[in-house]
Amino acid sequence: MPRDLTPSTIENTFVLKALTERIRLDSRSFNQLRDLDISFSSTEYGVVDVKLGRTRVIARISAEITQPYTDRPYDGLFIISTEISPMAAPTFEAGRKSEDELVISRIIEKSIRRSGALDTESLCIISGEKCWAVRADVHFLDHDGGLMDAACIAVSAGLLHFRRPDITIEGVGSRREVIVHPITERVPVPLAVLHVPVCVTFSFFDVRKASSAISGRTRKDEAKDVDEDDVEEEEEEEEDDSSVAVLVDATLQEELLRHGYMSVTANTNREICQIQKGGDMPVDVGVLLSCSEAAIMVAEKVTKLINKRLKEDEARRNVGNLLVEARAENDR
Amino acid sequence: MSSEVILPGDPIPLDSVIGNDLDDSDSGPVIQLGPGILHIPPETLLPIRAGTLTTLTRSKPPKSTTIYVDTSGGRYVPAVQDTILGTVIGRFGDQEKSFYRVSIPGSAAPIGILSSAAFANAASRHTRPNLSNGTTVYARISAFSIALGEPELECFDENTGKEGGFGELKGGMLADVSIGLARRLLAPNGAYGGPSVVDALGKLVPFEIAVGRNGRIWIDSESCKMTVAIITAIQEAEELPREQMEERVQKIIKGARKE
Amino acid sequence: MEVNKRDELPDVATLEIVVRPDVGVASTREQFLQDRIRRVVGPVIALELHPRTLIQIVVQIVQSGDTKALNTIALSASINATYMALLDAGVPLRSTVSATSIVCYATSSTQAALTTGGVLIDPTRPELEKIEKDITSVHTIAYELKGGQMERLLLSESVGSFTEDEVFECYDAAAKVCEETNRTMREAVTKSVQQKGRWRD
Repeated sequence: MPRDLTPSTIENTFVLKALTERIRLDSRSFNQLRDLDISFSSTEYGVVDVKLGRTRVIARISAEITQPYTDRPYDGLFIISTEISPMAAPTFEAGRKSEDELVISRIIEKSIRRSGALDTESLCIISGEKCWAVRADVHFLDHDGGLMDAACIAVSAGLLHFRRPDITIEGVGSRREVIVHPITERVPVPLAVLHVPVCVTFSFFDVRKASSAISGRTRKDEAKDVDEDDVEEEEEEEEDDSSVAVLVDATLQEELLRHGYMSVTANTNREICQIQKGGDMPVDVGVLLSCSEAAIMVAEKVTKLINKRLKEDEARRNVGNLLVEARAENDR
Repeated sequence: MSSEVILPGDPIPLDSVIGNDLDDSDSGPVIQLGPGILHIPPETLLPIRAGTLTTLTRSKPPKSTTIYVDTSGGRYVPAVQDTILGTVIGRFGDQEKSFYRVSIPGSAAPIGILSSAAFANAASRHTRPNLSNGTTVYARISAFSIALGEPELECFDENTGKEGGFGELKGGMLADVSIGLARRLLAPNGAYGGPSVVDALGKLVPFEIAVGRNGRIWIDSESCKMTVAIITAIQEAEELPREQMEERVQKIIKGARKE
Repeated sequence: MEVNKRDELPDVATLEIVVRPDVGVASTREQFLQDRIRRVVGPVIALELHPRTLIQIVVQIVQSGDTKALNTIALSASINATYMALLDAGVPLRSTVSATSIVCYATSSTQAALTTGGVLIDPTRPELEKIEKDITSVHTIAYELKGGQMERLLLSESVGSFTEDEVFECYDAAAKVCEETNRTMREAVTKSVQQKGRWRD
């Protein structure tokens, strides 16, 4: 059995002690993201490689034509598959969902699919008969914390980058036929992305525990993240801010040691798409608000980077302005 | 010391490796095989790892040449007499005779067994240490066979029977390094040529270090900030050429001092 | 070399290979890849040196070079990638392995399969798509190499209609390509060893 990575008492004590002195092990400040790198595949649309520090996630968007659900004839399908293989870390077992994995899948699902980032109605081709099924496969290649943040960025960027083949409908009535034009023939069509959700995870450390941990008392199950229902927390308990250390974008080590966490998904419209709080540590309302504010800031930064990379990618593809020419021809 | 990059299955150029100075008239050349080379009787030598083919010649009698494939990456495979840093994750046995289960991170045999009697001053039950789960120990592998699985650990200096720095570590911080660096740090001075990162650091700042062959190190120094800086310095500068390494180390330590 | 489960073997290491597709969930296609990779890589790993352990290999296909009907590029690429990963992980290996894909196609569709038409070695996806309708046979071939020299044929997976001569031709061509791949591997290893050994300077 691949064992969970159990951090030792020394690591636990030291991380907490360092946090009381406002030091993180990788010398970042508390609200600083790790180096983020986004790159797109040069040959295919919708393949994104996201590196967040040592965490690496690849998302792949694909689309095919299927039948819509009978109860929702006007909607296309959008599926996000987030299966974590042992490639990310040996603690993940192939073909078996761990608790962490479940949390990650749910958060991504809520962040992107349920927040309506992709306009599913635009995927409809013939109502009740044919629609596009857009599929996002997320591959976790390396795990150093922040899997859901990286995955969320990857899927968002992938949706923006993806182009589906153009189609035309010929015929009338029941003899309507859908003709798919390969992307070599016609300029492919981008997806209708309504907003770009970016997920930011905050890790909470109760630094008051630091002093007790140093004196030798060890807390059990600190690493265990308890999955709680997605209630928007409104804690009555008053805590002064200095007792809680709030970290943005925790590394794997910090994730294993943290006392609580909260994932906030936000976009550049200053909207919160999703909040999920886990762990056994109650958090002050003020902290929640400041986290949300911070999440929006991060979302703005990340979206800027995604757009920058998209522009660079387009410039690379668009050598000699061929695409523009082709598009003009299409319109005629 | 000669070196060339070798892949598994490559022929080993024995003639060039041995050289003439070893050819004693009365006996053939003595070759010792180090890690990464498999001997298939009668006389096939097969490299089984990719790395630098390295030879060490012993000039003192009995003359011998050791050849092995040097690699810095890969997983740690336990060997007797290696020192390791592990974490206590369980305990079994009765009051009289109890054992600790020690996880050895990064090892091919991930769990070691440490007898509670394998400590200095552990003659009587009352003087034996009581280690709780999560305790980090610095231990030596006293017995290991790949067929039997779990390595046996000891926490005392086998020459003196004293503590000798082994046992529970308190305070400080653990960090991961490559097993190549761990080996380099533990090698006798100059065996790998030139001063290491740790030597460079030692000139700048006082600190304590314990190195486990399994690619873990333990560092303790005057402050949290300094410990973090030292760990960063070791991890970042490990692969750099010497001058760049010293420069980087100085910069990091200076940065930590200034703030 | 991972920790093992209850399917440990008393005298050798257990070899677990997981292939994950780029799109969708694992199907028979991935099972096929897993089986073939095991057969190629298995005999090369010195499993007896690590009894009672698990060697786990996860192959994640990021972008498949195959068209829908084919499964050859993914196989040869997986074998090469798996081997490099084993090398990097320091798993004891007996020799080196490289694999290649050869696609035969008729130059004009009228004389399909009668004469040897064009041959593509390790084709890219656009190349494949161009000739997709004219493909007569597809061969995936893996060789074991020692010291850069071809040693044994480890895998020959052929689909389609072809003559005996064609297969042998393919073997010869594959041997050349594998030796070339092997050289590339050696260069990569040398580079990485030098990179890791910079501290010596």
